[in-house]
This record gives sequence, structure tokens and C-alpha cells, in this order.
Amino acid sequence: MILSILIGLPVLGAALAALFPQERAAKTISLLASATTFIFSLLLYTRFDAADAGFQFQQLFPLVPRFAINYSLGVDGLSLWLILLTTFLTPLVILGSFSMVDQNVRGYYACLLFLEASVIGTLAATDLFLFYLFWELMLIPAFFLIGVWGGPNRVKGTIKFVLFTMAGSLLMLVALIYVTHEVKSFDYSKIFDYSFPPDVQFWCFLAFALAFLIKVPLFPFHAWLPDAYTEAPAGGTVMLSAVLVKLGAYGLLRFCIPLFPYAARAFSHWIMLLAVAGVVHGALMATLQTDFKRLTAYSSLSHMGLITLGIFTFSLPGLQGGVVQMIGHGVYMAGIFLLIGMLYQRRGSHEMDTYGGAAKAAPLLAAAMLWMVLSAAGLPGFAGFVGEILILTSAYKAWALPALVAIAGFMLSAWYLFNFYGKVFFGQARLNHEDTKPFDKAQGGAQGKTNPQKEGAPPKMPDLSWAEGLALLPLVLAALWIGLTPNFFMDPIEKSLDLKVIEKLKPQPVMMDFAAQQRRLQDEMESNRQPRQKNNH
Amino acid sequence: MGMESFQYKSLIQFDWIWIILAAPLAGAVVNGLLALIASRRKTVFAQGLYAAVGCGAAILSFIAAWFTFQHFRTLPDGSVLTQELFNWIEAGPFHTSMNFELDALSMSMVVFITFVSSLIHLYSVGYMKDDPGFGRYFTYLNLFLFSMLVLVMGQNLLVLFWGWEGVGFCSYLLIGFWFEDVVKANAGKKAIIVNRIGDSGFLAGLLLLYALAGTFNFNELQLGKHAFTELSATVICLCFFFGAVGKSAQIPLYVWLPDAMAGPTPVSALIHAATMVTAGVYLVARLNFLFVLAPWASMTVAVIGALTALFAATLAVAQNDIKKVLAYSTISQLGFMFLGAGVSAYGAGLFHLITHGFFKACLFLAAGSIIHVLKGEQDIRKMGGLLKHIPLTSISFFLGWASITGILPFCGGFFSKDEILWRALAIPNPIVPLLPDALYFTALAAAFLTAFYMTRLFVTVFFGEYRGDREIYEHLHDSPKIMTVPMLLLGVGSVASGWLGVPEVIGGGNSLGKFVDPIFHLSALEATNLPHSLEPLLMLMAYLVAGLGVGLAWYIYGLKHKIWPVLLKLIPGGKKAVEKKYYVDEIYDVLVVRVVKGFAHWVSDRLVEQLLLNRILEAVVQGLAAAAQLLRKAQVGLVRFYLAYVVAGAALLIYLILH
Repeated sequence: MILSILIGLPVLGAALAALFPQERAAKTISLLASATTFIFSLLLYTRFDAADAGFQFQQLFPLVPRFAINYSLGVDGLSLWLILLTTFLTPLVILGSFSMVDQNVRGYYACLLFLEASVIGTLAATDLFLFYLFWELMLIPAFFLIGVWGGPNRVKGTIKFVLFTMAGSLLMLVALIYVTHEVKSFDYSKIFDYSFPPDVQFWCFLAFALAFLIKVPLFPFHAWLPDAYTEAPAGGTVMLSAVLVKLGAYGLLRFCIPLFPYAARAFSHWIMLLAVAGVVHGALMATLQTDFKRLTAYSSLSHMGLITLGIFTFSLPGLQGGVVQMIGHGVYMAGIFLLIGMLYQRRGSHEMDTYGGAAKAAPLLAAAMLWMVLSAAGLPGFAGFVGEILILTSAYKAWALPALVAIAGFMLSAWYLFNFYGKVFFGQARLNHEDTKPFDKAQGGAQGKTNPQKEGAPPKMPDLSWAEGLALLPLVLAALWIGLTPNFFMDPIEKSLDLKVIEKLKPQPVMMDFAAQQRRLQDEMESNRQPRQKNNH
Repeated sequence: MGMESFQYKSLIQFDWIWIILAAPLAGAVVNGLLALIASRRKTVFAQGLYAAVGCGAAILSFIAAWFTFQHFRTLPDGSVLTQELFNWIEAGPFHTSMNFELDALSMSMVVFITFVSSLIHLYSVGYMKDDPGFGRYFTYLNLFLFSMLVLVMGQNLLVLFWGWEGVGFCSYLLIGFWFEDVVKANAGKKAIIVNRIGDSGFLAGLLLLYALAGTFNFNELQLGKHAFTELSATVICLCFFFGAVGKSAQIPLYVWLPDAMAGPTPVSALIHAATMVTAGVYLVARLNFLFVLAPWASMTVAVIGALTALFAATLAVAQNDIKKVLAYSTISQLGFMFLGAGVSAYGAGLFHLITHGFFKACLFLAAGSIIHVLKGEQDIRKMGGLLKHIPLTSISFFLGWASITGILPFCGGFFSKDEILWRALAIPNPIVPLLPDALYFTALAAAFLTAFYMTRLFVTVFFGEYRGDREIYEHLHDSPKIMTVPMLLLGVGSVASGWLGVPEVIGGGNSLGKFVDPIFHLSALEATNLPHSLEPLLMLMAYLVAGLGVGLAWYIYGLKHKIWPVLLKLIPGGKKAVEKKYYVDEIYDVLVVRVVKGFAHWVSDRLVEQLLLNRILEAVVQGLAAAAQLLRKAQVGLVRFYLAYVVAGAALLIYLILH
């Protein structure tokens, strides 16, 4: 039941937020709904059995008995932390957005909550049909978040994002239909136990992987990322960078590798190469940017390449490092993009050159940003380092050269991050000349707030408000917590990663014996003709 | 002690190590929170509060270190105190613990670091008085001390790397402490980026090392060193040395250190002279068991060290900023230490690290005191004749000067520099037989220049006529006691630190050398090139060379002879080249910054974003559009066409089913 509640609460919150006419009520309701969801989701951790690699908290009832489509949910080590990351970040995003969004407020929070629900659904679904349903549902709130509350070029950003994602999803749909038709079931566990012949694996892997790799995004499928990240409102960017893209990595772990291990092994070198290309490319692009939101978008691309690299090392430390990096990246990217939103709300610009000396005017904001920048730069003791070192050492063992090239990402990250930090926070406070004029509201975007200012006077840069500070504090603490005690996050998932991913990757002699497999499946079909009614939990 | 006791050095659990670390960390947290609260409330807390917390933390750490040291001395040779705090990263076979240990090497570093650091904390109370960022300053300083201690106390390379990156980050914050000045903020940025370039070597070393040995723990690495071949050890050592080159400002990554003088002067004393920049030397010494397997890597260390020692000394000769002279001098002296470590005289390198820490910190604090009393003036051309006006500062500077030049016999750097010179010449090189001679004479030339530029500095600042602002001159008086006392203590320390390693050949005890011998025992090569009886002769030689340098500088700057400009005119363009620091910054700007950015632009405009993304995307879009056009042609709106489609479709379906 917990999982259904976790999906249901945000939906309920979204409906209420949309229904209440007062904006204040919408804010309060959405904050309450997401906070309650988070508190409920803690049950997942406290009741999670780390020794069990199977699905826990299972819930099942038939949805379309004719096609054996079930509403079945479950959590294992692969999805545990991503669900908790989502429920952890959503209330913070909502709280952080209080001062940023002032148009269609009710719709904004409803979209955020709806997005949260669909993300949790995607992660908890153990039925492939249900998974695909939630996967596509995610697009709708994301589409509105970027398209309605985004920046001046939001239309371009939205179209790119949706088209890219859809293109990938459609291929996945084809493969998904084929796979479920072959196994005669939508049940993940059944498909998991099935071994596909190599040529089928080849095509299905490609179709699934494309969808997930576009989502991650892997170089060179990242064309949607800079535009979508830059144009989305701060809250939307946080959800995109911290949560949505992780689903791509999750898909790789959940579907591509365990279902098609033969193909995964065959393609692993190519994907590692592309991952490293993404690490370096993202870092190089970040050094060129003058718009710091775009800079951070590219740095996010660079770090996601690292996660993909870790996953495709096919070793336990690499996978665990990948997951820790996902959590860490989620936390510090959420922090950075929220802070960028706060800067934008104060100054109405993402151009680094229009800032300067902000550390003097807003010391708390500067301190929080420094904290996040350090995490992103991979300073040991902070969230970014653990994943980085685990991924790189495993990658080096798997294939030395790409890992060594990936170090360039580590090197360049100091360059672009401290360049950005210095330009925005150090130096003299900039005067309010022509190009720092407040964002023109008419030109586009709901997030522009015109600050009436006297010409020539330094623009106002107030320090963090209480709400903003409260939204950031958990992120600040989490960034350190992940960096210092990563075992807290890695221990519960070790078993799942080992049995569900690594184990499957070992060459299996059974794979060629299709006839026996087909027979066994037929027998099972016979015995399972009656749709199951019992609830597993 | 024999090989046995070394191989199986005894690890002894000692549960009080954490206090040494926790004190500065707690100080940083408390001061940091106070500073943030103050900035939030737009109020100012009393500076005494920050000072008490910051200095108290440093001193507490020193006291804890001192008692640990006393305990350590009662233990047999080869003992190691360890404390296991918690498991840090555990993933499958990957295992790293947050463990700290104190062996003779880190014990001597810890006592030295906490002592110097406590004095500099105290000095800072006077130096930073009335600075609006007082609380922030002590936060950073405590945080730095914590990171530095983590660096030297870590039991494995990842914990060391934590401290390594931590000190680099604190240095970034402290160089750009007055961040409203863009030049200073950029100096901090330059420091952290150049350090990162070096750190990428460190990271590469970590990957290689882990792939071969499967552990980062020093003790396990040492026991399992048979996992390394000469080739792999060489590559790994060179990777780590590249990291050391960045941190310790050696050729070619020294460029950040002169700029780092933008920070407050006590910071330059503590971080950019006495402690952080020596981390590279510590790293090489710590990994001595690997370097001994890699003669080529050791040779590289020695050659880079000797070259840096000479190169930076030539630059120090022509600087007019008092802090820049000392900065280049630091680079040069670090070169000496690397020379020592490179010829496997790790003990000598450590000895010089400690004496240099004392005398350079003393010199920097004295320079800070001068800058303080002259209200921010750093140009030595506007100083002069300060000797009688600021006597305590003069005495400190004199003690530092005497130690670094080695002109005052039997104190300070006299012994440590001589030991490095002696071992550079006396330890045979297995690859290039003539290398010891080349190293020796390079280092000797550097020692000559050291004596020359330091005397130039000393004479120009303290003797002759005052050449600066008269108004300041009227009100000249020495710095407050909180500054002069730590300074004098360091001055005394710089003289006394030399007695830690008086060579046995002239009847000394060489107590430091004996203390750390268990660490370096197996890695140190014997000085077999020359008989030991020659050591005093070499000592005399070095003394004469230093005396020559001092005399020449006195002759030129003290007696105002115009010989120096004449000498420089003999080398066309020489003076300009030295003043422009051999154009290295400009060359790097072209080589590194422009090349990387140019490459990024090329990738961005030509390769990926344009070709791969836009062109291919465009092609896909056009292809889709073309397909849509085709499909549209099929939708002609005539019923007979649609009927034909239905029939064709049905035929296809029947064929598929029957097939």
C-alpha cells in the first residue's frame, strides 16, 4: 500500500492545489502534500530489507486481465534511493519556488506534484505496461513546466525536449511490445527470468537503450538538454536534472542490462566511449558558456556521462558508485539550480557578466552556492567525490584509456565552476547599467520579476529569505552526508545490484536452449491462465 | 632496528588522535556559524570571540599533538599510532576507511604544523585587526589547519587526497580573501585551477595504483609492493609527482604561487610557505617505498627539484615586491626539498622542510609586520632604513635571513641545506653517473643566488635611506606584541630547528634523521660516492659560496655600486626577461587557456554541435518532412485509391497469415 499512497498523495495534492482558488492555499497544500509524501516514503527505508534482492512492498491487482496487464508495484535496491530522492527533493523544490513563480501559481504546483507522482510510478512499476504508462505520463507535466513557466526561448526548449524523448520512447514501445509478446507477460519478474536469443537482444537492447540514453542523456543524444535546462523555470530544471534524467540511468539498470545482458556486454565498450565523450564534451562546453544556467546544464551532462560510465563497468563498485553519484548529483544539482533560480529572481539574468560581488551582499546565498559548487567539483568529503572515485577506479579496471580521459572532466570542472563562482560572487558589485536591466516581463516568462531600481544604483541582491534557506538547508546537509557516509546509501542496494545486474551479466550456458525455455513457459501459461487475485503484500 | 621490525611495523591503537583533528574543525564550524549569523543580522561580534575560538582551537590541537608526541617517543622504533574512525567507502571489493595514523614522519609533521600554525593564528589576531572579515578569516584558517592535518595523518591515499583537495580549497578562499578586488579573486582562481591540473595527475595515480594493488592503505601498499613492476611504479610515481608539482609549485606548475601572495600575509606564511606547499614533498616521502622501485621517477624528482631551485632563485633576484621575493624563494627552497627526496635522502628533505617552515614563516611574518607598519606598502624600493625603527621585526627578519642563507654558522637552514647538497653529490645515480655532480652544482648555484637575493632584500629594506611616504615615516613604530612575539618565537625556532639534524660527522646527534629512519630505512640509498670525511669540506664549500652571495649583494646594494645593472646589460634582454618572469604566464596563457578554449570552440562549432547535432538533426527532420510529403500524396481524397489501399492491405495480411 505504501507505494500506492506515495503515488496517490501527490496526485491528491495536485488536484486540491488546482481546485483551490487562492494561491496561498495552493502553495500550502502542495508543500504539505509533498512533505507528507516524503515522510511516508521514509517507511520505505525503515522497512526495507537489504538482504532481499527481490521486490518489496509489492502490490498487485489486475488492470486488464485479458492481456495480463496488472497494476503491480514494488521496490528493490535499484529503485529505492531514486524514489526517496524524488520525495526528498519535491518539497524542497516547492518551498524554493515560493518566491520565484508568480503566474499561474496553482497550475505550477499541480504540475510539480503530478510530475512527482508519475516519477514515483515509473520507478515503482513492476509491470512493463504500467511502467510505460507512467514513463509517458511524466512528459505531460514536464512539457507544461517548461512551456508555460519557462524562459524566453521556452517553446524551442519544450519542443526539443518532447520530440527527443518521444522519439526514444516510441522505439522502446516497439521493443516492449515485442518482448512482452514473446514472454506472453507484462510482468517484469517473468521477463527478467527469460533469456532472449542474441539477435533479439541486439535489437531490443538498442531500442530500449536509445530511449534511456536520450533521457540520461548520453553524448551525442544531448541536444535537447542545454535548451530544456536553460529555459525551464528553476523548479522545473531541478526536477529535470535531479530526478528525470536519473530515470534514464534507472532504465538502463532495470531493463537494458538485466534483460539483454548479451547485447549489453557487446555494446558496453561503445557506450563507455560515448559516456567519456560526454564527460569531456560537457566539461569543454561548460568552459565556453557565459550563461551560468547553460554552464551548469553542460556540467550536468558531464556528470551524467560519468554515471553511465559507472553503470557500464558492470562491476559492483562501479554500479554502486553510479547510484551514489545519481543521489549526489541529484542533491547538488538541485541545490545549484535552485540557487540559480534565486539569483535570477533577484537580478533577472543568467549572464555571468551581469553579476559580481554577490558574496558581499548575500553571504548566505554565496556560502550555499560554494557548498554546492564544491560538491559538483568533486571535493572529497562532499557528495560528488565518492561516486567519482568509485566509477573511475572501476572504469579503469574495465578499460583503462577512457577512464584516464574522463579525468579531464575532473580537471575542467574546477575551471568552469570556480570561474562561474568568481564572476558571480567575487569582485565589485556591478552597477545597474544597460545590460543588467531587469528581465523584461513582456518578453516572456513568468519568472521575470521587475525590480524597480534607480538608474546607477547597485541592483539589490538581498540575502536568502527564510523559505529559501529552509529549502536549501536539507540539500546542504545531504551533500555532506552523502560524501562522508556513502555506505549508508550503498549498503541496502548492494544485494539487488549484485543479483539483478551483475549476476545476469555472467555468461549463461542456458541461453541457447530456447526449446526448453519455450516449453517451460507454456506450462507456466497453462497454470496461470486464471488471473491472480492475491495481493502479495 | 632490522628489516623485520620495519616490515611488520606495529600498529598501536591510540584513541586520542581525533582531538588533534577535531579541535580545528570545531573551531572552523563555530567561527563559520558565528560569521554567518553576524552577516545575516548585519551585526558584528567582538573580534575577541573569533580570535579566542580560532587560536584556542589551534593551540588545543598543538597541545594534543605534543602529548601524543611525548607518548610516541616512549614507544619502540617503528611503532605507528592509529585510530579507526569509521568505514568511509565500501563497495564490493573497494574498501576505504576513515583511518588516521601517526608514524615518525607524520608525527614530526603534525607537531611542526600545529606549532607554526598556532603562532600564525596568534599573529593574525594583530594583523587582521579591524578587518570586516575577521570571523571568516579565522574560519578559513582553522579549516585549513584541519585539512592539512588530515593530509598528513591519513592512513590511506583517499583520506590524504581529502586533505590534499581541502588545503587547496582553503588556499583558494584565503588567496581571494579580499574578494572584492578582482585581481585577488582571480589569483585564488588561478591557484585552484593550476592545482587541479596537478591533481588530475594525482587522480590518475590513484586509478593506476588501485588497479594494481587493490588498496589505498599505506601499510597494505607497503607490504604488497611486489604488485608493482619497475615500469608501473615509475608511471604511478610520475603521476603522483605531477600532483606534487602542482601543490608544491615546481616547474612547470609553479605559476600560481607568486600570484597567491594576494592573500593576507599570515596566510602566505602559513599556507604558501610553511605547510601546504610542502605537501608535495610529504607525498613523495610518504610514497618512498614506491619511489625506490622507480629510479627514473626519483631521478625526475631530483632534476625538477634542482632546476626549480635555480630557476626560481634567478627570478627572486629581480622582484621588487617583498612578498614576491619570498614567494620565489619558497619555490626555490621547495626545489631543494624535492632534490633531497629525489636522491632518496627523504630524511634530509624532511629536515629542510621543517627548517624552511620555520625560517620562511618567520620571514613572511616579518614582511607582514613591515607591510603592516608601512600601511600596506609592499614595494622594497619605497622602504629602506627600517632597522632602528622596528627593532623586533628587524631581529626576526635577521634570524630568518641568517637561517635561509646559512651565513650564521650552525643554525637553521645551514645544516638542512648542507645535508641535501652533500647527499645530492654523494649518493650515486644508477642511471646517469654524472648526474650527482650536475645536481650538486645546480643546487650550489641556487644556494649562491639564495644568499644573494635574500641579502639584497635585507639590505634594501633595513639599511640605507627611507624612500617611501614621509608621513608614514613620522609615525613609524613596531607592530603590537601579539605580532612580534610569535614572530620572534619563529625566529628563534628557525635558528634552533637546525639543531634537529646536526650531522654526526661533526659530532651532532642528527636526532630528526634517527627519528624518521624507520620510515625511510629501506628506501634510502647509501651515500657511497664520497667518503664521509669529505662532508665537512663540502660544508665549508657551501658556506663560502653563501658568503660570496651575501658579500656580493652587500657590495652592490649596501655600498651602492652600480655593478648590477652593468652585469645585466651584458645579457641582452636578460633584465627584461627576468622582470617579466621569463614570460611564462604569457606562454601558459597561449598554450593552455587558448588551446583548451580553442579546442572547445572547435568541438562546439565545427564538430559536435554543428555537424553531429544540427546537420544530422536537420537531415532527420527533412527526411521526416519528405516522408510526410510522400504520405500526403497518398491521401489524394479519391475513394478508389483508398479502396486500393484496403485491398492491398488485406492481401498482405492474408499472405502473412497463410505464410
